[in-house]
Amino acid sequence: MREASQRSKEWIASTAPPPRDAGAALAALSQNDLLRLRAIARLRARSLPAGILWSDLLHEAIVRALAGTRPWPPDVPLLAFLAGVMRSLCDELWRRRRRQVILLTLESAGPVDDPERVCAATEALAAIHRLFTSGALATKVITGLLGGMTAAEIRRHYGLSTVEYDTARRRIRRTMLRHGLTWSWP
Amino acid sequence: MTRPAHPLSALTALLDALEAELLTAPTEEVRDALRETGRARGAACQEVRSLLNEAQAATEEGSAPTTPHDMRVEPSLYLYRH
Repeated sequence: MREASQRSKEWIASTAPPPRDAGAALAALSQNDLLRLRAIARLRARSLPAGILWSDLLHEAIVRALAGTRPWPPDVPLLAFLAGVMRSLCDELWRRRRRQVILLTLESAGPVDDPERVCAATEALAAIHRLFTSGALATKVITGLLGGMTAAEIRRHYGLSTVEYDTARRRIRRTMLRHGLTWSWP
Repeated sequence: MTRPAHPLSALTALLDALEAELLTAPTEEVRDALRETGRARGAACQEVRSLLNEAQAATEEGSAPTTPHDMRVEPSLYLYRH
């Protein structure tokens, strides 16, 4: 029985994909990928507690990827993996902040009742909206996205053609990429 | 159609959707955005590259967190400032 278990472990070990070299993959990132990464970090940082920068978030995500604290799953592109790490770090930071507040006030609150997080979310939504105030189509798509609508629902709800919808998405992407490069967020 | 009214749900939905757009943006759009920003582009990319290098150095020096995040006492996120 023990032998069978050992053989099974060896078989799993021999068929398991080798650990992915996050360091080499990070070093090989192109300028375009660096821009995507920066834009994603800056986007995610909009929802962070005050005082934590996008660079903090990205740095921590990279450290965890390199240290193997967050294993990089096979078949997941590096940028998607890092984006996922940053996403969960945001939740982790709010949990940590809430614990500190609870310790201070001895009150218990769920994430949805966390007034600081709700306030930060409201401000982040307003900032993202301000990015697109000059584009009616983009504003419609953004409003639909934050309402949790699918592409088809947005098109139907606002009476957008496929071309109009794709144009709005392209404009949104370009705006997000440009703001990922610069410091200014309205 | 479900329309989450709470700001947290709305922000989560929006950030996830925008992140997906950034991940899947065609290369030529990323290149155009880089071109439009002119001189800022070099500095912006260099800044991310420096972050990567610093994180790599921190990991190699062993100062990086190696225990699951829930078990760590000090949040390493507050230690880094560029």
